[in-house]
Parts: sequence; structure tokens; C-alpha cells
Amino acid sequence: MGGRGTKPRRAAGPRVSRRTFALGAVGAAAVVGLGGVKFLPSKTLLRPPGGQDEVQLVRGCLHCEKCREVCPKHAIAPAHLEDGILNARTPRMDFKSGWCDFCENEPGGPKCVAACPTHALACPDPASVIIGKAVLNRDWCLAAKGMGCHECVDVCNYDALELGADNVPVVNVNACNGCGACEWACISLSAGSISAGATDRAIVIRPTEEVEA
Amino acid sequence: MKKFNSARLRFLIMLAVLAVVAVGYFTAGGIGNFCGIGFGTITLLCPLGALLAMIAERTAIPMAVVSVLAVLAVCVVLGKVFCAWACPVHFMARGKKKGKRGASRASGSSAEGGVGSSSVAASSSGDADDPAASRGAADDLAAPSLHAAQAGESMVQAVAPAPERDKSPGMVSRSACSACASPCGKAKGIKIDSRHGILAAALGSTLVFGFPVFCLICPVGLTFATVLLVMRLFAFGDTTWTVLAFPAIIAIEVLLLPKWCQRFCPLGALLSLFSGLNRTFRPRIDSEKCLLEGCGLSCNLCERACPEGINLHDVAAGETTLNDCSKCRACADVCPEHAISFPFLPNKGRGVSSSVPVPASVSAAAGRAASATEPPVVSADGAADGDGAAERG
Repeated sequence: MGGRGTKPRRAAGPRVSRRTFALGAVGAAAVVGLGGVKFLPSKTLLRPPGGQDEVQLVRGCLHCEKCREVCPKHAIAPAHLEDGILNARTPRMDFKSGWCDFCENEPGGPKCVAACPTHALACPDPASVIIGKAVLNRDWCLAAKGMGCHECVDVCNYDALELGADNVPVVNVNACNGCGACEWACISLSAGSISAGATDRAIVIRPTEEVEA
Repeated sequence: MKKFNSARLRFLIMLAVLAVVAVGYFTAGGIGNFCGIGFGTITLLCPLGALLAMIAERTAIPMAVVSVLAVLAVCVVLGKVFCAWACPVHFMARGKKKGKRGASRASGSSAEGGVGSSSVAASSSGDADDPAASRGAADDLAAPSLHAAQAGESMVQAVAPAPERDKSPGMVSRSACSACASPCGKAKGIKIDSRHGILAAALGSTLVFGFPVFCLICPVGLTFATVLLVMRLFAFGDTTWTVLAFPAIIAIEVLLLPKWCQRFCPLGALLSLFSGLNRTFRPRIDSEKCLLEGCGLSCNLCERACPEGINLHDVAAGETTLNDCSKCRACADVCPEHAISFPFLPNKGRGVSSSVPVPASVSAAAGRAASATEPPVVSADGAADGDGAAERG
């Protein structure tokens, strides 16, 4: 302790001691090394409108939460560390509590895009945005069990769902823009209608790349 | 002698800001958090985040440029006020220090006198490079104004006699400093330290990797993220490990690393650079009232109270300069003579500056006292070794 304590004073020069330099160097190295998390695997997430350019979103997002707060449908949730370290705290769509109508009645376009201060969300034309694609799991779907449910078909604004020959909904992938209304309306996990082994709703939105792959 | 305590006021203001953000989280107000706060489309971005986002996007974002300039303007007028008056991490770090003080006080009380306890505190808190500052860790507990003032007065009286003075490591370091012909550190402008290295690394890393790297571990942002996750946990049952991981990251940064705010925080480094232009509301010692400058007593309560490590009596000897002053008023609160004020405009000739760190009579007296016994460095060594022996024995 004596050596550490007296060294800076004996030098009597600048008090930026060896220790300060070491702390700075180690801290700086840690921050630079942290940049490497970019190369860790991370999940593809459903992003709010304008956030489909993943690179642009990750570049600009400062995690200010404004997009999530202003969403009138409460369809935006913060991503977690489980979604990838790089994605933590970034906005993702959560269709369990709301769905995206692209703020079609708002004069300024989607509110989340307008609220984003760093243009991490930027969408020139909301009509062309595709958040994801709906995917139906027939094992969990109530209609497939002959219960005559067609909640998702009723709620779809884009004619992307219609009842097939066996009265089970069929997704028209080309028409679907992933607004999430069907997932939001799906009752397969509620009101005593839980199928065996079901962990999610019967119709969910998936990232476009996953569906097309 | 209970007096107005600005630490409490600062704490309440910080809690109020946290509450506003937390209310905003669930009322669709679009207030945001410290990463970007404001109403509607007008947002004041975190200046560090704004810089990082612009570097990552390699374009000038209007709101980010405006935010950086606005923060610069605030820093020029008010200095680094954000750190002491709004940043929640500052209070976590201070709370940790208080806890440590209590612990070191308990262990130090068994050792002999103030010198022994200061060595224990120095070894436990890991800031052995400045005995004068680490001495502050020896006493003063949760009720800072009352207790510290009392302890300080008794200490001043105890240290005042000349033979005692040489045993005090704080006094030795000061006499060693003022014995030099030239000041041993920077008194004005910006002192580059480890924080600035981390700031440079954060900017460079963002340039290389193309995303705001530091934002991932920023304890300020993670504090707000934790608030949100806890709220969502109870409101929506949104269960995730993240709600435990973020506090763990904050704890590592603030509790395990020594002095996050002073040594690591790149946001503080940026604000201190901005505050290099600040000349208003700088602390000023009334040298007639000051026990050290006016009466020649060995009092360094203001230096010990300073969370930034500024030595108002001799700025060059402190860990940093006045551009790091966060206007927390801890020094003014702790001064037993109320000799420290924060005037709007610096009073020329009487302000704290390097040219007149300590009145000549005092430094000369201190120099004589030091040279009368033995060379200052050796005496410091002897004191430190003696402490070690006392601690072991």
C-alpha cells in the first residue's frame, strides 16, 4: 500500500498516474471489445413500421422508449437480452397486447416513426411496409377442431385470410403485411380452449425471411 | 446545527425525474427516458448517445445535433449539473461510498487514532493514491451535514497543534505540494483521465462496429430499462432474465469498479469536456472565513466531501479541476464556516485559481513545518509504513 500511495507524489509531475492510465486502457479495451457482440447470433425480430432495415435500426436506436410509449395500440414492447445482446432494449412488435394499423388515421403517418429522434425508424411509405407474415398452426387452431372459429378471418383488413374448404383459415402470404390483427384476435390460448402442448396462439406473425425460407 | 441539506434536495429531484419517466412509460406520453427525453417530436437526446448514433449512421441527425448543442449550452452555463442533480447512478455510487465509510469506520475505530483508520479506509476502498482524499473515508455517515461538521470541527481542533500536524497524511501531502515551486498538476482547464480514454474508445468502437456500443452497458440507460422491465413484469407478466441481468450489470459497474463516476463514466467525461467553458456558478472560498486559508488550521472537509475529487484549496493538487464540478454543493454544506459559495459570476481576483491556491503565509508555515522535521516524501513514506504496521499489529 505504501508503494502505491507514494508513487504519484514522488514523481511530482502530472498526477495522471500509472493507475489512471491502466484503468483508462482497460476500460477502453473493454468498450472496444464490447463492439464484438455485433457478431454474436441474435434473433430476427418483428420490428415496428420503418424498422425493417435491421442495420439502420441497430445503428440509430438509443433505447429511448419513445416509440413504445406513443404507440396507440400498445403493440410495441422492448426486446430482451434473450433476443440477442445487440437487440436488448430495442423495439419489437408484441401482438399479444395490440396490433399495428400503421396509424392510418394519423395525419403524420405512424406515430412511432414520427417520435423516433434518430431516424432509427424511418418509413417513407407506410402502405409498403411488411412487418412479417402470418403463420397458422393447424394443431392448435380451434377451427381445425371443428369449433367453427373464424376470429382471425373477420379481423383481417387486407383479405389475407379466408376460410378454406374444411372451414380452417388459410393465409394468403402475398397479401399479408404482418399487421398482427389475427394474432391479437386469436382465442386459441384463452377461455378454456387451450390445446394440448400449445405454447403460443394458433396464428402468429413471423419474420418474413423465416416464412419465405 | 441541522441545516439545509442540498444532498436531500438533489435526491428528491432525481426521484422526481425518475417518477416522471416512469409515469410516462405507462401513459403514452412519449416522454422517453434520459436516452432521449421530451414531448412529441421534440427530444433532447443523451449527448453521448447522439454522438454515437451520428457516428454509427455516419450522417448528421438534426435532433442529435440540436441536442448536443443544447447540452453544450447547459454545460457552459451550469457546468456538469446533470451528474449531481439528475443522474441516478451518481446516487448509487454515493450510497455505496457511504456504506463503505460506515464499514471502514467500524474497522478503523479499533486502530489508533485518525491516521490508522485512514489507512484502513484507503486499503478497503482502493484509492490509496491520495491519502488526503481517502482520509475522508474514515468517518462521516448517513447524516452527512450534522455528523461531518461535528467530526470535522473536532478533527480541526485535534490536528491544529503543530506536532500533531506532521502525523496527518493529508497535511503532509499538501505541504509537499505547496513546497514545490510550480504546482504539481493542472489547476485550470481539463485534466485528461481514464474517463476520457473510455469516451474515446466508445466513439472509436462505434465508428468501427457501426452501432452505439456504450449504450449497451450505460448504467443510466440500464437503470431506466430496469424500471421499465419491473413495471412490465408486474403489469403484463413479462418475465425475462433481463430484469435480473440489467441490475447485475449496473451493480458490477457501480459497486465493483472503484468510483464509476470519476474514473469510468464516458458521459461524465463528455460533460466535463463541455463544461470546460463554464465560468458561472463555480465554487468560491471566502478566504477570510476559511479555516485553512484564513486561520491556518488544517481543514480539508470540502475536499473530502467533493464527490468529484476537487480540492478547492489547491485545485492543482486535486484529482480533477473545476470543470468537473457538478454543483452538488456538498462542499458548501459541509463547510463549518459557510465559507464556500457558488456565485453566478466569478469574482475576479478572489475566485479559486491556481495563482493563489493558499495564502503565502499558510503555505510558508506549512513548508517550514514540513522541512523542520524531515523531507516531506520520506515523512509520508514513514507515515504510510507506520500505518501498515499499526494495521497488521
